[in-house]
Amino acid sequence: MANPTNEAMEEDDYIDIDDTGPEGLKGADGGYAWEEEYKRSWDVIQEDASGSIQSSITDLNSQRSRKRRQQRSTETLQRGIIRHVVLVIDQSENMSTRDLMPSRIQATLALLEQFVGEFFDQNPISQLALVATKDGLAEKLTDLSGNPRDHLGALRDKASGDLAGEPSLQNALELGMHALRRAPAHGSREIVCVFGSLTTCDPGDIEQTLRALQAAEVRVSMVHLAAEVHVFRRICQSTAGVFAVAADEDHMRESLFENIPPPALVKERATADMVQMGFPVKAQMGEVPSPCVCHHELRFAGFLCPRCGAKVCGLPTDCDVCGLALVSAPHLARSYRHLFPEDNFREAGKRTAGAVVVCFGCGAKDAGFECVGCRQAFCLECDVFVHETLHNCPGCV
Amino acid sequence: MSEPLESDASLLVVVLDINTSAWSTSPLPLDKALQQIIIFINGYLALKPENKLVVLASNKRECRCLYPVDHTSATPDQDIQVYEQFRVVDASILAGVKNMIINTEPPNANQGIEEAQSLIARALSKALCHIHRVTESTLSKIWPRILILSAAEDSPREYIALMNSIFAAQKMSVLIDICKIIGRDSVFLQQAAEISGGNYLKVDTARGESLLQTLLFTCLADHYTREILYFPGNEQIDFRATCFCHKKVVDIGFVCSVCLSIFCRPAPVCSTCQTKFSIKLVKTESALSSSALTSNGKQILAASEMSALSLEDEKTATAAK
Repeated sequence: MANPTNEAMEEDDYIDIDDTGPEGLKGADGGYAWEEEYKRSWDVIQEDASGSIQSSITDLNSQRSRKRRQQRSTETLQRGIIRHVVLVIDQSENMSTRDLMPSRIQATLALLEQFVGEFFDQNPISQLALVATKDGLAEKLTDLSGNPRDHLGALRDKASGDLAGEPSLQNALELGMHALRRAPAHGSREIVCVFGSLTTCDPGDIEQTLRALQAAEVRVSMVHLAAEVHVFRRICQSTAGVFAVAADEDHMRESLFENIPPPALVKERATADMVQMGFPVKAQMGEVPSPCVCHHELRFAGFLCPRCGAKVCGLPTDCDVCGLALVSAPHLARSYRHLFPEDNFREAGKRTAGAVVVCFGCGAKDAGFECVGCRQAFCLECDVFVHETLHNCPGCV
Repeated sequence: MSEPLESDASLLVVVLDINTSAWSTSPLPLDKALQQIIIFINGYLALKPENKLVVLASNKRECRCLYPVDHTSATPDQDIQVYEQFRVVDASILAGVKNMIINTEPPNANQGIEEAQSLIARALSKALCHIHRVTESTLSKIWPRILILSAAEDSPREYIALMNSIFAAQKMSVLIDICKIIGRDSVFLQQAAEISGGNYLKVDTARGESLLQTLLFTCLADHYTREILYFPGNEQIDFRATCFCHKKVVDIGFVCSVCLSIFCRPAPVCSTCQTKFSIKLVKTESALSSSALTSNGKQILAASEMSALSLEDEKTATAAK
């Protein structure tokens, strides 16, 4: 771990104009900044015994992610659990730039594949659609569906086509809104864009589109790979979405994955409704396979829709014959962690010297954190694990 | 996700449920059961020298790690007849269980159903924390699994935490095997086994089924061996939910879009989160009464979910009386 003097230096490095007193830019001991001791900011990175700086870097990363997690709200808020999200991918010429390896479009597509997997893992009863834009036009790659296979297939095959021209944000948003028209009012409607181009080639007035988005209560978020563009930011902010510019690949991943947990609902807009859902039983395993209605393939196993008796092969899905949403109880349970988030952990206060505190989760000796709710001690690994994977504190349970 | 190899080591976390009021009704007494469990554990450790073990025990008040544990007390007598590593494990487990039982208060007859529930969700969360720590710190690939020896009943307030643990286990490719020794089938644990890819086994000791035999034949297999073996199939696990209002199993239910509670027929107001629904005929501007679920709402929801997922509706209510 970095020794205390280095950590103090790290904070003092950031000289804020507000810190200056009436003397102007004079430092703490009365002199000017250039008269002070020269700060060696590279001393924060320490080498370990074998000469590797890996542990230093992982420490810095974990400190950064801890800070971010501390700012996360743990209130039980109403969230749009049933979500309808349209992903807009920029396929303009700008996306062939090699600032993200191997090229922007390939890095984006690889990240979107992970995004789709993680999205359906955390929001099993939601639906996703893909839209691509290039050459001033927008094209729908997949329709709104809850099956990740369709989207992953489209990302692999169709989206890696030729890049051309300039993207059209207005066309993409209009196409997205059109796709979301089918979405019922109790679900949240969102459009998430990944853009690399600083320009957009639109047929009409984007203000009109913005007003239409606000009227339809669609939330637009964007991750931009180059720089902030005023129009894009304004659209995101006026529709209560999030606009981020990716600084590097990790930051791009973080910003994009922020759209995975369901957003908190705005009170005036939210409408709640009772959704009719079916809970199918497993079909009898016969000796002869029978076709499923979703893919028209022969299968032995499957589930029977309770309303029309049609066989579907996987859950969650919509029955293709009668349109009933088919889920199983664990799928609804996956969303509970968003409705009831766990408490944050904070740094433990001073303990009496010599007292060895054991981590409540795993029994390790160095337990430096404690849970705000149950006041039990936890170590760093358990902190990371509880907040990123497990989502319930062993002491509060 | 890499494929398991025959030479890969395993990490087994055994969760012992030593709820005294549940074990008092068992035809197999706790000390005999512990002997059988210890034989199973020794067998597991004998399979490969790299195999790792963690033992947790839980009852209705606490959950403690029995092995590995620091021995501050004097080391037990040297016994050259017993393999040293087994002796340490056996002694820790027996001493730990004895301590936990001695320190438990005697059951209070008025508390009723609360007595027969253990902190299984807490034990499962701790087990996953242990697994996370061990897998992060070993350099070679280690395949984790959890074995729960369950005696107590499902506890409705633990439903959400239990489901979170099960999904975390699924993500970490941890198999959860359940061995139900006493009592009725536990719906939550059946789902745990199904979702994580493990086995749910019910051992009926009253009819002479042997706990040790079941454990040795089914739970000893590691990730690699399980792909070769053909396991006793679970009878159809019913993933249907039951409605909150009548506690009957629903095929087609109405789900509140805010709190995801399930009803058998539509109603204007959700009874769990008090959300007024926008009925198409009547337009209401103030569709919401509150924008936050209070902790009371959480408890009501959890209690309702338990009864929602129980497959035995009226029997639960009458058995509790």
